Amino acid sequence: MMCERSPEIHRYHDGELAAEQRSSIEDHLPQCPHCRKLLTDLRSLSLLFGRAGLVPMPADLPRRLCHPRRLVEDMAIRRAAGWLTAAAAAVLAGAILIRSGARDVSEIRPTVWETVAVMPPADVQDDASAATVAMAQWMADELSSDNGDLR
Amino acid sequence: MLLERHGRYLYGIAHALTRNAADADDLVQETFVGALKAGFRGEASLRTWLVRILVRRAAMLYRSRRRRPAFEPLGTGADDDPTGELPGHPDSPGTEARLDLTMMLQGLSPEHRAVIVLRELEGLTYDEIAATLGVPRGTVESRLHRAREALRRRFRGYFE
Repeated sequence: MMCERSPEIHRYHDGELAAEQRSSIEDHLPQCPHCRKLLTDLRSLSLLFGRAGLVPMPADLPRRLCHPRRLVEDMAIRRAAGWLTAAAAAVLAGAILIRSGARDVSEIRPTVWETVAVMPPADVQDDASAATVAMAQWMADELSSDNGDLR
Repeated sequence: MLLERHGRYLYGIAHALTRNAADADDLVQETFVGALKAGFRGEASLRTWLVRILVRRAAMLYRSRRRRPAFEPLGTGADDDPTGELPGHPDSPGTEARLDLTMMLQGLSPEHRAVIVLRELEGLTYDEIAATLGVPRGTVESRLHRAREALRRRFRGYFE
């Protein structure tokens, strides 16, 4: 037959009761053989745990812990992951910048047909005016540059 | 040295929680990895802090195994005594009444083992156990009561 105050006995044993509740349990204990037995058992159990031996550690574990390859690997992976994340972020940011820059340049740069239009014809004669060729080259170069004033 | 001073104790706890040498070995190493990552801030004793990390890791291991039933769950390891017989039981004449922690926790669920270890070995309060395991205080109390009832039945002969 369980006493309804059993949970309080566990708390009493574990020091989890306030002073007033402790006092109430101490008044209850002399009248309740069930709770007395429970408290005795809990104390015995705690003593057993206090005396219990731990399974001994394998002899080579301290050496492995002192030179833990896994620790090193783990920390190295963590560091590398950090670097890779930073590098990926930098590449992404650069790509975005270049892409946005390229869009601006493409707006400024002449299209292919514009460039071709000012180039000297492929069948230009060897005796073509050197000044004309130079002018055409200059215009092509200027149109290929970022200077939008010539558009 | 930190590893040597605490490794032995942690291994004993890890073995009691997992009842398996390989899992205990892994848990101790993972505990030190976790400790290196987290950094000790001095809220508790160093040993208690390490035990908390270990118990959390054991709980994670248990949960991961429970999600993958193809793996052997904790507590059914190769180190288990298939007979479940207690060594050195006082009813057996000529034997010494000494138990190791693994034997004492045999038969308890991983959740019950964890609360018993944190309460009986580390002396944590209910609130500290709740914070360590990430469960409500009431859950800690009910697990502790059930675990102790199971232990009382199992070790009845040791109490008299």
